[in-house]
Amino acid sequence: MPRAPVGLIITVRSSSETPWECPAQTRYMLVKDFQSLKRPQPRQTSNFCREVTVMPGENPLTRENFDFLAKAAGLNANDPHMDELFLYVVSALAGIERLAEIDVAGAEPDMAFNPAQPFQE
Amino acid sequence: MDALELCYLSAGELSRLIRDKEISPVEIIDAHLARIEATEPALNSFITLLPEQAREVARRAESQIQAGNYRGPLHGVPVGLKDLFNTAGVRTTSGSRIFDNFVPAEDCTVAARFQRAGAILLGKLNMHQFAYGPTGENFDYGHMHNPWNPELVTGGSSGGSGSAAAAGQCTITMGSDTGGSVRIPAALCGIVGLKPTYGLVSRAGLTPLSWCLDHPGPMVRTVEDAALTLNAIAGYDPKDAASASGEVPNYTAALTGSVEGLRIGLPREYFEAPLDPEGETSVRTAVSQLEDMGATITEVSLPMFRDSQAISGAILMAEAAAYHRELLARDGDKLTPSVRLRLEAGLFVTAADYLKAQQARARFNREMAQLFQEVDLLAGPTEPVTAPPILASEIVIGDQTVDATGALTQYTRPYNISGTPAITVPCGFSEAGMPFGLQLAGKPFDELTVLRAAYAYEQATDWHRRRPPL
Repeated sequence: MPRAPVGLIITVRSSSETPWECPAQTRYMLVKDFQSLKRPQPRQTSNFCREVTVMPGENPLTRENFDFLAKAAGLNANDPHMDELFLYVVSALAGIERLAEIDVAGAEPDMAFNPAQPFQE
Repeated sequence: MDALELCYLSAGELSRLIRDKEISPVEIIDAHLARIEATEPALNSFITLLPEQAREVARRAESQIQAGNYRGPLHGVPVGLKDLFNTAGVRTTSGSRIFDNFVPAEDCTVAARFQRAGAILLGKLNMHQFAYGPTGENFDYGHMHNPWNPELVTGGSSGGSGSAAAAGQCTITMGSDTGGSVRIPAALCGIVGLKPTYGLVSRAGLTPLSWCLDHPGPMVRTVEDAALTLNAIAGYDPKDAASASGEVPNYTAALTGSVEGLRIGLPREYFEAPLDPEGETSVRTAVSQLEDMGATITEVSLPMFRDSQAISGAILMAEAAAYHRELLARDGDKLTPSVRLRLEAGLFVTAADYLKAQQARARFNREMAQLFQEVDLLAGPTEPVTAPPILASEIVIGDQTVDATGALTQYTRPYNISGTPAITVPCGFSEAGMPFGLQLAGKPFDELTVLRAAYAYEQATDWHRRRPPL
């Protein structure tokens, strides 16, 4: 499984019947704006989504993808520190690549949620 | 008593003198304020010092004690809080000038419990910005300096807490530990640092770094003081969604001085990672001492130790970015560049990676739980090296040059993943005179056993009696 090229929300679609008209291939689709995901507009155009094809074994984070994702994450793509951030992100993501090798079959995410837990603001 | 001696008394020793009215909280506070004045230019432990408030509270404590209203072992004892613990009416910066004027309306639960116990807040302690770094460097309020050698880091992120306790500026300090931020500065400054079980000490009113990895914990000079502090601050808090509701024992009852019958495991993977030979010798000697004292030592295996950086890294990056996202958008250019990079990088961790890390965490915890069926405690180094120079991004361990952040957190992060209690106690010094720490970790909510072993080791050695040359 290739590593997703990162982003706020990444979904895999295999049908052209998505609200965003992504082609009928398995690929990663990056959602530009989390709020938009909550209120999807029917038949959004390609301005809304962008496809990034990822080849297995390749580092998917090209500078072009990075710039797009940075913008999607609300960062200023023209900020002078983006070059440094790009290098940092590549390195940071390499640091968690090992996750892909961990066998987690049958393991649920270890999240703390207990509906019975009393809570006061 | 000499004022300097007063500053190096433990909370346990001070409390007995206060209870017996042999010494006044006012004297104690004055001695500590003088100590701070003398050493602060070299250390920079504090962001906000509260001399007038502390003296006023000390006078009140003196009156209460004189009137027979002694509240217990922390009454009149000076404490310092890392500057991400909210304090009513006292600014809380989280180590960033962006919050230079942020004055919380309410105390965090830990501060409220200290107040209830009669402890006296001396000030708010310096820290790595937003607790996001293991070295104790701060470009907004100045770097923290190690009392054993001010050219070296204190460790972080609770660096001011480490230096203040080690240098006798405060009797008790508090830190928060997301990837080692209590234990790292405690080990590098030569004091005791306890990361309690997740949920035992309330996080309510602390600036989060990672909701599911953050653990507040005491940083003190003796194991007894860690137990006394835990007695005062542990316990259920409805304001913290992760707070545990179990009964809180008397932790000082664990301080028997005996390790007879304890089964201690030594994960072999800890010694396959980069580790300074002097540090390895100190830790192995300490473990041998525990064996001589009656513990059974077994070599064990924790294969997923190798995955711990990836698991905790993904969780930490994603949660820190989520918490600080609005701040990044609004004031990103006002953050320390390295902290900004770390926070922004978290925006590039996918939801799938985050959840995979949480799945892996479940596997990791299962492996850890299986180990704890064989042993009562796990032992190992707290740090692979002594304190590195300030602003060093890489450090040399043996013949390897490694990333400073990764190396400083390699032994501490596993217990943030598992949420299990872990303590560091001084276990030796390098030839250059810098301290090493022994880390002992136990089963969930079994702080009693962790404290018992740490106390027994401490009492059998004199590392904790050494003082930095200040």
